[in-house]
Amino acid sequence: MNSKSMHQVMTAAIAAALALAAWAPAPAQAHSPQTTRFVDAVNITMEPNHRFDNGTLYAGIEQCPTLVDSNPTLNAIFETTVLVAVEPELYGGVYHYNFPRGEERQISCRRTDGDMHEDCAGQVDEDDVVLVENEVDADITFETLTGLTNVDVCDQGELDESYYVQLRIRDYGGTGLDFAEWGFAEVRLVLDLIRPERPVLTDAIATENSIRVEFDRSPTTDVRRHLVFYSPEPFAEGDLLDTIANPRSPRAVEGEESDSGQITAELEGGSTVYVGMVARDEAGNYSAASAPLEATVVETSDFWDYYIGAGGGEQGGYGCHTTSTGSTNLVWVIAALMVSAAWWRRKTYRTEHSQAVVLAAKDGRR
Amino acid sequence: MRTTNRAILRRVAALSCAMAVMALTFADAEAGGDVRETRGMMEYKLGPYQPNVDSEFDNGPYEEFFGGSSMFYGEMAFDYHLWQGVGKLSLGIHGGYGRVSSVARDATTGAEVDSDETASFRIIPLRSSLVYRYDYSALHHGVPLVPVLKGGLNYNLWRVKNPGGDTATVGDTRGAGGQPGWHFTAGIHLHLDFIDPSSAAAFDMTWGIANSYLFFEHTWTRMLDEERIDLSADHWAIGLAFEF
Repeated sequence: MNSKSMHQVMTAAIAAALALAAWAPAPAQAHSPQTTRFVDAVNITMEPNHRFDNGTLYAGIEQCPTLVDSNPTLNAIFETTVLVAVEPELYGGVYHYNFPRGEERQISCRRTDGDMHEDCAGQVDEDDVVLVENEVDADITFETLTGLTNVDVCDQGELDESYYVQLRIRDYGGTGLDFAEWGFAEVRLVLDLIRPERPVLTDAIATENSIRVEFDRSPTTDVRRHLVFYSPEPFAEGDLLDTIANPRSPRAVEGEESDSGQITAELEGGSTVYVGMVARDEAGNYSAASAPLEATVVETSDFWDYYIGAGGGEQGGYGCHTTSTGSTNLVWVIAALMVSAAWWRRKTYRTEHSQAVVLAAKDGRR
Repeated sequence: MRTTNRAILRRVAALSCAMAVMALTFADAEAGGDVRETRGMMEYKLGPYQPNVDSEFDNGPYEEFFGGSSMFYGEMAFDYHLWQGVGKLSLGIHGGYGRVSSVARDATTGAEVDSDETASFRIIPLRSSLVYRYDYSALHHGVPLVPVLKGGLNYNLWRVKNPGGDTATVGDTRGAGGQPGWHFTAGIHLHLDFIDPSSAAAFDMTWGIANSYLFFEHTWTRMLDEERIDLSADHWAIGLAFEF
């Protein structure tokens, strides 16, 4: 193969690689609620209140039975730059749909041909959509959004779903025909009923004031915290926190990005404690407990222990008792000097001030 | 080696005499017309402070626990000029803060505990001083060095904190208190205005700072009650001073 042919082959190979790259699927990204420049802010509320973060409301295993039983109304609020109360044709929807968490697709419920997208679950009843100047308020019940009616689902540990409420809106200047002029804004309810996997505790050192741990992090991707707890009584790996006898309040490990950390604790020196760890995910679900580690609480000492232990005479307190007469005399002399100086300055200032006042009065008479 | 109080007093007396002679030398000199009247000074300084706690022991607990580390000490001072002539005599109040810490120790073995816990010892000296600064030559003859003497009383608050962050206790004793003392300071201030007079003038116009100084000083601090924890120290500091 001559050099010209080689060059052609290389060029073709590069072109093919670029073409493949262009056709390759986009890298996986979490499907966060969509936003549009026509919507300034979104909010989502549901009684009882749950953690709201970046357009998403989270509910976990603990909240699930209450939600299914009480079927609360989810209120989605979109604050927009468009005066929708005056020109309601500028908005569309409100729609809702759901995907399992981890599903990366983003959909627009209203298709270009005017039909609803096949993955869209439905549209919020028009009576439940209120337009207030630049605001679209939509109400949808928990049951309509999720389809859940049986509390048994809460204990099955299988459901991990994202439920989206989607608003379609366009700018004043648009013709309405160009699909690209429309924007979509969403809020999301995450219902996570799967516990994260437990971390592995590899080392624990307890002192009277803290517990330091080393651990292998939970492999579950949505874990947000690793927490340490301790109990005066043994427990088993896999136990749930609410079944462990006397678990002292779980506290998040400081240094969350690393695989070691410390929590504060109040422990009795020389006693034995059983230390465990749990992971907590975005929805507030706790993992089962790690295998416990038994630790004897180390009694610590400070500088005061060393001082008193060495026979130091100080007892503490704020008294001014003196025994050294030589220095005391000097102190009194210095104190007298300082007071005298301050008094002299005060007197001098008064004299100068009086003279100035007299002079000013004379000037005034002239 | 520890400097005795008597030796320090001798030094204080000698330095005071020297300053007095300087003052008398220029006693008849007239103040320059372009030097404006000032009211006082603010000082900010930093330096090490190692209290002489171990003076009452053969094997000192400070050395043993903190490994001989000095406290990191900072102090802020405000001086009000009482008299301005050949130099200035001022009344000053100072507030300082010094702290040293070490990893908590195993009470049984004495070994450092593998933990982020620290135990600390801190002091807050509150001082009042008579200050004499000979700045006549700096302001009238362009000599940029200003010797300064300070002497006065201090009340030294101190506290030992255990690894839990609370005040340390052993039996009925509590690791916190306060005790009076006295101090003497000798320092040399470098008048910064001569480096860039136009900036100095602008500083005065904008902020009302007539003179700025970079300084180094050495302080002898002594406690009055020898039966209590000894917070005495011979320590130096560097800082900035602003006259307004």
